Amino acid sequence: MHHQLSHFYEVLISATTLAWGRAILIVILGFLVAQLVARVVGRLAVRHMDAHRGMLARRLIFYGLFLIAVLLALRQVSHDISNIFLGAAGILTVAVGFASQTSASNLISGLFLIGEKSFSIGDTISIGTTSGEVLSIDLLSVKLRTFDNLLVRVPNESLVKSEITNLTRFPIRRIDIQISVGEKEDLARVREVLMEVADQNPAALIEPRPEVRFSAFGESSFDLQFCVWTRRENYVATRNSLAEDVIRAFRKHDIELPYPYRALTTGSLSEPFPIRVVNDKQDMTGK
Amino acid sequence: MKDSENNNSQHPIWWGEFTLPQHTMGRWHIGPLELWVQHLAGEWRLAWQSGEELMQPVTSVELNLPIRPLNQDMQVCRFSFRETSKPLRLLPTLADRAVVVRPEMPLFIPSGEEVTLFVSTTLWVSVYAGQHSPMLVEMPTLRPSDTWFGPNTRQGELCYASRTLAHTQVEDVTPRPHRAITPVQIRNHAHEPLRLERLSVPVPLLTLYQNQVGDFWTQPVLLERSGRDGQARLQLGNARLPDGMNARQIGVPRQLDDEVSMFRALSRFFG
Repeated sequence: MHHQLSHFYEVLISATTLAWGRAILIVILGFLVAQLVARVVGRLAVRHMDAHRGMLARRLIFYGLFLIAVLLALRQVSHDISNIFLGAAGILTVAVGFASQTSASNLISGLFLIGEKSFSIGDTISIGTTSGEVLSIDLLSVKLRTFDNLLVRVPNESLVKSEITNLTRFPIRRIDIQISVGEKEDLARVREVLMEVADQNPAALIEPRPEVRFSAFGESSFDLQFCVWTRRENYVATRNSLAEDVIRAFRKHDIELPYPYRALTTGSLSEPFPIRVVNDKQDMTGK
Repeated sequence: MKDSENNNSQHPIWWGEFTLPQHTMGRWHIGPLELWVQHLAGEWRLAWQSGEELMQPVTSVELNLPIRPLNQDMQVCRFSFRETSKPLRLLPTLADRAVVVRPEMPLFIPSGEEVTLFVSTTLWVSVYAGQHSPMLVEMPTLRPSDTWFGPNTRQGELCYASRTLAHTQVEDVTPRPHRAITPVQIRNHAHEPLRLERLSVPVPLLTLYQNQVGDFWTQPVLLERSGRDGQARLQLGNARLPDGMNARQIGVPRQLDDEVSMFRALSRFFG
């Protein structure tokens, strides 16, 4: 009797070990297969859809296949996996209860962002004071690479609430350069010189036409806005080259780039300012 | 210089195959472009710069010059090869984007009428290190300004802006060694007159030719405004070079399009 019982236990233990071994093997194989299939789908997706949708499809396939593998593995160790699910669901409910407030908000915001298509992977966007290239749009956050090569994680919830500027959505951009010229300058001549500067710069688009807009009567200048269109890829380079060209052209045509100045007058009724001529050498030596 | 065929051109032929012995350099003036090519041990060194476009453009080819230090203002490229004995090859090519050109003033083409405009566009120079070698570099003889051609700033195409005007008489277009002339025939089949303020010439689709006097011409373009709203048809196959022109083909178009006739939105060609 005792011998039969120990034999039964041995069989039971070996069967359980075998089942766990199979389960672990299924999980490992499932992980590898899911990764392989996701990678293949990702490569195919690159040809047929944008990078963002491709990444989403890849992740969905990976997690879907991996979940199936886990379920199959659980079936190996327990014939009735509904008990496991009930237990897991209980734990999940508590966890979700605590975490859902922020995460669910981010998750839903992420879905809105994906649906809205305001930007996609590879675009350069600006949110508040942060600007950078979009590296990934995940379910909870968007990762940006700033121009000084830092990774910034922006939660989707704050993205939905903030104003986002997509700097690379359209193929051309306008460069606005604020320019002040001396009050004695002829604005028509200044306009002519600026238009010539734009015309001579090959990166400045001929159409839409460049413009010189009058902004304001400054304290000691006329303030103008020089608007020039360029390709979005050339934005920074053209802005820099235009600034150099403007300075060069103004110097060539004797157009004053004024410094702020104050004119002091004594008024018509007061005495003129007294002027005292001082010998510098005497002052320095104290003589 | 192998490809120095006899022609009646006032300008020497600047393109073709050129033999440059090692430790010598060649200098090309092609209109506003100045190109230096230095043949060093296992290396081709190229330097170029564009000046202003003159009324009487200079074209010259000087070979076997002693190596000189490169001008700092020039754009420079170096290419290393195991073997550099093959002759250098220079080829003229058309622009890599469509060119937008304006007539002298807006032109109306009444219903059922047609007009031929002659458009002059800047040539590019492609440099090859031998007959079947890949292209080393290409440069425009004069970098045209960029421009946008489309109904708004969201939709459209990035093009080059032509510095010259489109003329209705071929005599008004001066042939230049660094430019090619394209005849653009426009037919208006619509009931309304066609207002022509700007025209986009799809030069990357065109084949380049050189006639017996050395002037560069392209395959002509036929643009038909159809009766259907907002449609235009571009035809490349049926149009012909001016009568009596004995021209030889140079290279192939940048973009090969199997369709010799294509319908596009009117705004794609006319602005």
